[in-house]
Amino acid sequence: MIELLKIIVPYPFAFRNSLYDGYNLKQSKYCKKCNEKFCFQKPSVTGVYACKNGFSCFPIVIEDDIIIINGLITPETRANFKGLRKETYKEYVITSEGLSQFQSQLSMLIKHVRQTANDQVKDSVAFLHDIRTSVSIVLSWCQQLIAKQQGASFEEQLEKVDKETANLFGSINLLEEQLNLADIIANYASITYGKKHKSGIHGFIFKMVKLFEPRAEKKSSKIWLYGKTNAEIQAYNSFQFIPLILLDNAVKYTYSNQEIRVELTDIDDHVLLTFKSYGKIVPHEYRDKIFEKYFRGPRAVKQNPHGMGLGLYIARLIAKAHGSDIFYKANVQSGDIGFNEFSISVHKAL
Amino acid sequence: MFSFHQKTFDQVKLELPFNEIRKRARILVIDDDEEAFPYGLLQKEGYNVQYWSKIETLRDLENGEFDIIVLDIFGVAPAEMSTNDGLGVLEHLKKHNPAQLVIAYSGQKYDLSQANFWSLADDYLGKPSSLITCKEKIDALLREKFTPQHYWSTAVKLMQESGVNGKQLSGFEKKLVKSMLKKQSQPSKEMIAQTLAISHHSAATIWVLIQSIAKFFITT
Repeated sequence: MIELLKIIVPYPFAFRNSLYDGYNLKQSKYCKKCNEKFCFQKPSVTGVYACKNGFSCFPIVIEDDIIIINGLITPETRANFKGLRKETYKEYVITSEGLSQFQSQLSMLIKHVRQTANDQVKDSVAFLHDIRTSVSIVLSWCQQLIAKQQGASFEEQLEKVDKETANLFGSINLLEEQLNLADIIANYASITYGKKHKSGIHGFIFKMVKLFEPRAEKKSSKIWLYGKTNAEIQAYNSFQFIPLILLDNAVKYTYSNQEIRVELTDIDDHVLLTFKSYGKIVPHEYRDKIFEKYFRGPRAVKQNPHGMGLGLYIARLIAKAHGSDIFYKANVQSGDIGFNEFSISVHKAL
Repeated sequence: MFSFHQKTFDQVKLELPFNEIRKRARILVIDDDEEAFPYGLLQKEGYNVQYWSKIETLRDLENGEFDIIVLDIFGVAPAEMSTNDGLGVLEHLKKHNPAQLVIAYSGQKYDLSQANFWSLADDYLGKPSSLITCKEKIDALLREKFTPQHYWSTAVKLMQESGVNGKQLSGFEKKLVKSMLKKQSQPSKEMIAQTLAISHHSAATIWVLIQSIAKFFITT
């Protein structure tokens, strides 16, 4: 957004608590030196208003953002602040009609750019709709099959089905979650969609572990969940994608016949979640980069050439949306082999 | 079941077992794809679920008859009813009855132009969602918001916005609690408008909220 604004806004402006030069008119020395930065505050009025130093500010609201054209002199404010009528500021003089005209042009342009970007996203992921429909049908049949068992609830019926059917149901659930993750890839804002809900962290992680068990089994690996806690966390639906991404990576990159450990540790008002898998550790030079968007280390490229390098980036975005972060630690056992450990500390719900 | 000496909705203890709450809460699923939402399996487990493939008239949804509406985003409302399909319906419902519980149900969270659909709803379900996920979402919403307090706090907010003062409010609440505990009939829209000296429009919304609260006091 800011890159676009720098190209199309001719006047100096304030955006998300920073000052920017216009492509035509730079921030005045006065504004640069100003400590109060009155123009960073969300105005309570619409239209032109004066900052404490007498310059005109002009807010332009574009959907959920606000851009404030600052440091100008309009006839309205000029009359009140005589000290600013200096020759050096004459290029900053503009009529409020000129600003209003610019406002409508900018609004239209940004609306058009956002619409175009949204259309492109929709076009590129529209095919997912058909996949969802197909998954819905498979899921529906699988659930009907499970519901034929005796039991007072679906969960009881699921306990009674054979292992293959249970694995099939788990795999469809995993596919369902991966489709939901695709939505986040297409629209990062959807991380905070819905309301935050309280949920027991142990049950939540246990469910995720169950989803990955069939995949781990294919590598003759086993996922173990250690630590018991009754703690609850307050989280968006998207939080589930953190264990999903970390377990997906753990299963992908662990050596065969090795256990994957998920540890839950109660620490005061936090719960520490750690995902450990055994295999080649991330080399030193890549440890800061693995959370960057589109970054893929040579081992990841070799092992899984079609990956996008988005998993850990998204996991970190989700963690940050919950006021937390994800950390990587290599626990070296021998040479470049050891435990890859990803941890996240989450606030317990009050 | 009830404690008669209590005076306010916060003080009334309704000890309904959760299975009873599941049975009582009327859930409506509106989705153009009949196969997607597992409403049949939910019915088997005792949930009170109905399914509509589309909305015939918005009026059917305005009277608070359904406690939870699971609403799809596209293909549920004709253009003459809502210029923005499911989002338009949701905006209308929340404006008409802010306490209406809605679960947004769609597989199109990538569409930035529909972002309001997700923020206005009380929760969301991706499409597809397994029966277990659907149950978790519905149960969480029932536990959190399907309570007399949820509807009453919305009514209080509306009354305060309409200029009803604290004393009037407190008296009105006590009368309502008493009449509900004694299974008496609830005030009509006209009576609410007159008693509280508020507009008929506000009285109509408060009436819907009172009907929702009264359902909790019905013994089976």
